[in-house]
Amino acid sequence: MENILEIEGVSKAYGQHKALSDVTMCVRRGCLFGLLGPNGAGKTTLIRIVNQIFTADSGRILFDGSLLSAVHQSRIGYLPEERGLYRSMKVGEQALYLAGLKGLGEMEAKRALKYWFERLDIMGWWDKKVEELSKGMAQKVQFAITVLHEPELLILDEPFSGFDPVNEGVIRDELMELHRRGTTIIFSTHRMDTVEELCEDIVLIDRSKVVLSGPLGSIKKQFARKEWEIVVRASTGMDLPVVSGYECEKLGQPNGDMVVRVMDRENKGINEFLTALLATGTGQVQAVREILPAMKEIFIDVVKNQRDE
Amino acid sequence: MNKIWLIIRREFLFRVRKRSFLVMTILGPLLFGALIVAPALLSNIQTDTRTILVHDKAMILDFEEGNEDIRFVYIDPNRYSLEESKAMVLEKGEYYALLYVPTGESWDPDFIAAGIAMYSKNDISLKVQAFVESLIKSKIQEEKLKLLGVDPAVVQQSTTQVRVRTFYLEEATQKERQSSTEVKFVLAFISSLLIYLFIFLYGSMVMRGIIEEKASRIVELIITSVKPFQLMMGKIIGVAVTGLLQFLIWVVLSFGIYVLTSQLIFREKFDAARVLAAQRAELDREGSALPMDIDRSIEIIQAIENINFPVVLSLFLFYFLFGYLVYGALFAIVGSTVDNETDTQQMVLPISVPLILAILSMTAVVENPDSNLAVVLSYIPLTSPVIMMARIPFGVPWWQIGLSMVFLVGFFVLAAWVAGRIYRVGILRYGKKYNLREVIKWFSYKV
Repeated sequence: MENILEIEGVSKAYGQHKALSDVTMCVRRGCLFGLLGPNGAGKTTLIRIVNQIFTADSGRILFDGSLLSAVHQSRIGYLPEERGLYRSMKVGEQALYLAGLKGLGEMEAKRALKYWFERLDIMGWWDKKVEELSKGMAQKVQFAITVLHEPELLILDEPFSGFDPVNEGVIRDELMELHRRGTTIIFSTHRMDTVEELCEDIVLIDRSKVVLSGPLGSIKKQFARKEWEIVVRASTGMDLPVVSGYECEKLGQPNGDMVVRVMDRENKGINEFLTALLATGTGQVQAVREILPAMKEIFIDVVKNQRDE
Repeated sequence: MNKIWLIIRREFLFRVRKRSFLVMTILGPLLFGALIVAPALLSNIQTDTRTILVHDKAMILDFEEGNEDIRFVYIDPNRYSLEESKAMVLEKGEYYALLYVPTGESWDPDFIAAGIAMYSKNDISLKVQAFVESLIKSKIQEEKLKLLGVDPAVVQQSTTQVRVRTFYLEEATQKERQSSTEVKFVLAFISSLLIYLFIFLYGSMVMRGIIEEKASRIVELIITSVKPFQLMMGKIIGVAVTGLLQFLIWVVLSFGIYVLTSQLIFREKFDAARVLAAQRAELDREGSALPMDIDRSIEIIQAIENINFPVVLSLFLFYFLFGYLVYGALFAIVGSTVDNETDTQQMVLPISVPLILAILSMTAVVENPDSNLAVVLSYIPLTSPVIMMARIPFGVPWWQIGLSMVFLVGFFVLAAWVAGRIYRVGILRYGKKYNLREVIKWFSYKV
């Protein structure tokens, strides 16, 4: 099965309020997947349906090719946005209990817990109560608990919130390691830098509907504004050619190189402009690069357009 | 099934390991034992004899010496005036009070009685006052009878000491057992009060546990592994097991204390009770009367030993368990609807009302265990645990107990189902206070 998760036409309403309408999406096995959307778009509802906290009003969900059911709960790991552990329970005992609920045997759970606690360097907290830990420390424990049962699908809601940059790095490395080992990871996040950096595929949900989905790269291309950046090494000043359909703008001259932004108004591609530039014979072209929009801009654009319609 | 077992185990171990559990478990029976033993012990202790100075010109008291608690000391009424006598009480610590019997022109006893007074530094105890009053009353009565020409010896002979012993007839064994309504009263009061306390104690434990899981947000994590209903029932059962263990330890410890006190402190009385029981059996067979002056405490001991503890105890366990389970489910609803403990008041009220109603009508039920009120309340599942325990020591027909049990178990199944449906919605709701009408709506929500 290529897709670990297939969501087909899922709808969910709370009374009059529609939380999800006809949501369809696929998550490829082993993929780093970004689930994006403004607050209240329906992301949490969707995650809760996949975690079988809620059931969908209509539509169906396939996990690894078969209809999602309670047997899949032990194959999913979930880090809710609102983190929480028993405050007056000891860390180790608590982790073993939660692992047990996920179906791990006691010996197995202990072994996995030791592995993760050593990896995250939190072995010393085993007998501490959660209320004695700082917020960041508790987050680390919670992360260990989420991955303890080696889930095939990890669903992380804002995974990096509450971590300092050092620990964020630690967690990011662990996630990459899990990714290398084949774990599928769904990130639900507002942090677009995380998305740009980590995600391969994304889905954008707005007001209960999927408004955008696909591989990050092709989405960016789709939203490209036909803008190019050209770097030219010119010792003396240079003259830019005037080509119809193109607009140029000099951006500056850092370390002697001229940076030019070219806007392709007629969607002709950059070649015609480059030919004209080379024909002027001034300077050496160092680099030509298409300026792709940041995910943040796409996000805002799409959501705004939706609202305007 | 395996998962619900894990939840039960966690709830049980978590609570049992708390220090408060240990303290409650050990102190409970000690306090209870003390409550029962202390009055008996106190009555055994010789209180200080109180000396009362008597200024009795009319010689009404006739130089009576008093009893083991009160001793009368007479002063010469011709040598000392009332004021001087009062000064003696004030100055000397040994006198508890001054009893002053005045005289007048008339020797009419009624006239004298009206002028009798007591003076003391502190308030005079009711016991002393009652003793003095009854003594003077009988002395004056004697005096009047004498004036009427009745021989005091005749008066003495005409009084009879009466004590009615009560028995109940046991159908099954055709035997008579000595019964004591007082002992049943006490047993009924204690057992129904305990049920009431346990339901509140452990029911609110369920509620607090749910609020804790909700407030710490761990609930969302747990219900990705188990069904909300499993989590709720696991918690309710886990607390029940804790409660049962605590109660069983209490029973064992209390029994230990009872045996210990019966062997050490009241050994003589217990032995006397047994000897007496044997004698009585003998005498009953011969059909003859019994000696009159039987110690009251011996009778009580006999009555206690005649209670069918295995039956009372197992019925108590049943009503404790299912009463708690019903209310545990209701407390679970409350816990799921609020974010923190301070918001529980409004929601706890509706479920406290039937329980408080039960404990309020308990006194009436104990006084009249077969009344219509008692029978009806012992069928209603929300009141039956408390009310049944108030009736059982007096004997309840088996079919009534059976019917009440069936209702209670049936109602628990219903309550658990309803609670489960509301709970699964409530545990994921935050930040708003919900009123009863909204909460009832959750029942029909699709999750």
